[in-house]
Amino acid sequence: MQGSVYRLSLTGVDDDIAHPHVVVLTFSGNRDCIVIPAYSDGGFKIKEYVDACKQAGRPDEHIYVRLDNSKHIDFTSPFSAKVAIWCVARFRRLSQKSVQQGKRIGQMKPDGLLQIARCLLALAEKDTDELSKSAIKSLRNLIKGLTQASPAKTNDRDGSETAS
Amino acid sequence: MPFNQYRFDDCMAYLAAKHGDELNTYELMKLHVMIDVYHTLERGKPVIGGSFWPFTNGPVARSAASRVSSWRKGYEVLGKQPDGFQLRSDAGDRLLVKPTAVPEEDDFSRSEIEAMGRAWDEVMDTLKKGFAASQEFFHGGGFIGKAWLKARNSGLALDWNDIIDEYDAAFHKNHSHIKALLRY
Repeated sequence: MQGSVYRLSLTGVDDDIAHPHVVVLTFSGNRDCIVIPAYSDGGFKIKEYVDACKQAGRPDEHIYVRLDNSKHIDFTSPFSAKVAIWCVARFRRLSQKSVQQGKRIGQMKPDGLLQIARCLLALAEKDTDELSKSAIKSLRNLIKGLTQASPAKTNDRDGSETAS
Repeated sequence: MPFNQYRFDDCMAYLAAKHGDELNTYELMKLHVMIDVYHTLERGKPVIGGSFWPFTNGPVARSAASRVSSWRKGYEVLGKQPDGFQLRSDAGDRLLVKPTAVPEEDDFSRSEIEAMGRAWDEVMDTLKKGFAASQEFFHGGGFIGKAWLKARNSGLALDWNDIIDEYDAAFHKNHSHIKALLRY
């Protein structure tokens, strides 16, 4: 399930509008998972949210990852792939069952998932209230595994990715 | 945010084990409400999730009520125990829930543990004063009771903006930054 991208509409969230969500961590004992939502790059509301986070003192690298979905996701159903803001600061912990009720639209490649996982870890390490110790440990293990599976890259936050 | 049944189980098992208590249905419902209220006030998102509806005895998440109701049905009809809990009925035919599997403290973030602690103190201290005091808090003059009344009058689920406004009015706080986060 890790890396799967689902189109989810969550009651009372995002005006009930469906957005892609990638599964970053799964908790087998608890049978729930952490997902990260994506929004169209340049969208008004996400820009407003990012600005609000920045005003609260959070740097970009703790808020979002910008990815070209056409390069980072193997789509399994028709979906218009475009550059998206994966808003890590708005991570959600949902039951796997509720996630699987959404439509699975693709699989994120290791490099994209690695960038998102690193952003989430940076957020959790900076803001120790955000994630449980066991989730942080799982995240570190995920990053370790993905780092071995994926060539190291950095995202310059303007959308152009460079090898490091 | 959708109801996360596993987080509900985790929170209730953790609190019951920590305090060495069995929990009844009323306590389970109210702890859920207050855990999510206190976590949302601090972090802009609930721990468990689910909409709170203005039931006669105060705000209740239908999903949580349905979960506990299915436990009761399984226990009373089939003698079946739910995963992670042991059920029994007391002399007053109240369902009492005791955890058999307890999550570790490391399975929760610090803000989740704080919200659970505040919720426990609030719900249990209020109940110690008697059921009438709890009713006053949850559907009377308490901040959550005032938000419940607005929902009751509108026939809709409790609005997070109302909960936060009533909390701020009661305690002279300003959570406008949290309301801004909830807009997205």
